[in-house]
Amino acid sequence: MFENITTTEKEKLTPEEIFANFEKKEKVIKKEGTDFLENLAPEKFKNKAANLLLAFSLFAGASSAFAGEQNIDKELPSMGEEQYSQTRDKGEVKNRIADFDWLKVATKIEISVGTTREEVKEFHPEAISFWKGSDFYSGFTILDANEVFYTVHDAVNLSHSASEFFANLSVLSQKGNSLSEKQEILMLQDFGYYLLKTYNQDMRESGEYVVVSDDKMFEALRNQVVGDGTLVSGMCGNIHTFLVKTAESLGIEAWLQGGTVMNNQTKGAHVWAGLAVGEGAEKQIAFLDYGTLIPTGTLNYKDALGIAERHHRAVAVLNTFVGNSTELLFPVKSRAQEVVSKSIGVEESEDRLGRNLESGEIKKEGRSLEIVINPEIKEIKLGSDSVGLAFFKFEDTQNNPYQSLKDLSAWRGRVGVSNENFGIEAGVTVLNMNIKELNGNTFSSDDIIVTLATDYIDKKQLTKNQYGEFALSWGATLGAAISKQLGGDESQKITGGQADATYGGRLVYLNPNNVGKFYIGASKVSRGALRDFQNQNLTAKSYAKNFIVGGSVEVTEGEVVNIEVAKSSLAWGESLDVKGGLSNGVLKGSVGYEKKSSDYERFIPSSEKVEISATYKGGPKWEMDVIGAKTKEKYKDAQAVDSTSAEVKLRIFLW
Amino acid sequence: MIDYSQIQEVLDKQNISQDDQKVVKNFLSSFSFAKRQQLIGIFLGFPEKISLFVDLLKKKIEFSKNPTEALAEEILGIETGEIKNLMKELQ
Repeated sequence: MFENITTTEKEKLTPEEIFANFEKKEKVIKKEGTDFLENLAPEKFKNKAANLLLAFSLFAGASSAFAGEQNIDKELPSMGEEQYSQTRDKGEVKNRIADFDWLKVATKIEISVGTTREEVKEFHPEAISFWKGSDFYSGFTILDANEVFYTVHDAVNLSHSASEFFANLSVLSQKGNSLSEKQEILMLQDFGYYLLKTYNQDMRESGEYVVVSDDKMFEALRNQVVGDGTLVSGMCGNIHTFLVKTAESLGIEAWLQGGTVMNNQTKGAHVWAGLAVGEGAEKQIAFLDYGTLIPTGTLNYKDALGIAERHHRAVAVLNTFVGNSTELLFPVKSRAQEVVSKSIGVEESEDRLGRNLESGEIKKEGRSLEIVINPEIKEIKLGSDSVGLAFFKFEDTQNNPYQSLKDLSAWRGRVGVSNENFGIEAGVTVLNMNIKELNGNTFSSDDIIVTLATDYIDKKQLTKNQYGEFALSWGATLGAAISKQLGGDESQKITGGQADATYGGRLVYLNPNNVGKFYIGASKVSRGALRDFQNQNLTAKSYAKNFIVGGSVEVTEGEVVNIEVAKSSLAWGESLDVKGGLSNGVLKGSVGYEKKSSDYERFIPSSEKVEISATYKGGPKWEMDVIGAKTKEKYKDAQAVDSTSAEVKLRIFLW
Repeated sequence: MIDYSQIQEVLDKQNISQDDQKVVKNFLSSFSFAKRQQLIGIFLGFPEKISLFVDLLKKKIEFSKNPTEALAEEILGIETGEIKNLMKELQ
């Protein structure tokens, strides 16, 4: 019956004629098939071939119609991955609000409303350069102070080397000696005051950051206290390293903190010392900046950094490391720095790689409009796979003394290109920050941040047989950022930077009937950092090793249970993350438990977090998430503190 | 309602390349919801035929851009052969 379908026309036909002939002949083929089905005995419909014949006839017609549209260059929307659920007629997009075609802007609109509840502590910060009149030294008498000044003189005068100096201080700090802890802290301030006078301006101007020996530092100090005051030592990193060693000799817990400082409208890199002072409920973190003491009234390190930022009138936009007298340990963040990170909108490289490994490809964002509203943050993001624009606004609505930002506004843009295996994305953010000074005034600062992220991902099917399928995906992600102050002294202003790299892989097993999936993966994160606070030698430090195992199983038709366990070994401790959930297509519920065990509770708290979320799919056009979380954090020597947060997300699908 | 992730899994399992998956995506997205669900059902119901469907789709797109008699005959030959075989099986 098909003999006449193919033709051997000799004449030269025009494209239109060829097309018309094709349509005519295909119509005949399809009709033969459907006529055959109409006359088929009912019991034959149990045969799979009958269904396939019907399917093939439908597909033949649909594919020709689709191909015909391609011919007239009709612009088809790129398919989002979320839903196939919005009714659209061929040739005309129905999703129009008034005369505006939202589909040209976004295929998804996400609105997120959230809040966090935590206790805000009252605190009136002070920077103490002279003990009298300060809250910290209340009850201190002139006799106490005089005793300190004599001791400083004697400790320096009677020592002839750094080791002798440290040993003499060690004797002073032993029990039974008359100096109180506050007197010892005033001594440190006094040493800081003298050492500032030895600051090596030549070293700064030549950019030669080198290690200065303890003996040379002590020699300069001694020259100031009992000599003619002509010797110089080093810069902030050298001076505060010596002050940390001095504090440790006195039995005071001390460390080094890196960050930035604003001097004459110009931001500069800076290093200062941290001290744990006081006893019992009075114990707190205090920073020592040369001869100035800045008590923080808290043992929460994130909060304490906020007081330092207010004192220095500057928020470091990128990495700030904490360290000891021999090395940098790991980056730490203040509340303000957390806000800045959110405003830049850059993911950690390990999160980017995790997403890519999960999907086995470079994850794209798709056309979307996102709006975030919570009491402190308002954000609007508009993006597609290749470009994005966002505006971010933060305001300290609680007037938290530990939040150094009064407000922050950020504009950011990004461009990106990718293929199956490689992706590169560049972003630029312009920040305006109004920083609270210690006296309550505000100081305005503008920065520009340029970010770059590159992704590589590949996958391979290892085996596939009746027992299932094994597939391996592997990849790497590099992230880098530099920041520069806008305005200020062009020759002095700081250019900050950070870089990290993550590589890893994931092995996935899919069982034969597609009712179960199991995976196991590992990744490693390294960060670029200075070796120590005295010189500028860069080194790559291992930051995290992550291990993940999980799976999802269809327990009954349409009901899927999933569970995932992630364990990380970090530069500061360990973390364990367990998640489990159940979904049935309309409702999805999940519970997550995260435990972080810190080996450095002074700087990074140990914590436990429980998060519960529920997602409801309200038909083809929208879905909603409700997320609640409770977190318990504990810093060294401090009581554990609880905080709760809640968020509601509404996603509307437009296509 | 069928979610796109389901068909993506089937395409992956059938080793359909990323470029060809985009062709399928564009094909499905050009139809109304009801028609789309029907077509997705065809893809999910006959995964062993997905390569054939994708091949036909690509050939038809090529034909619509550059209609030649040779390509028309090739496409019609594939469709005729497939329908003929199924009818034979059912007789």
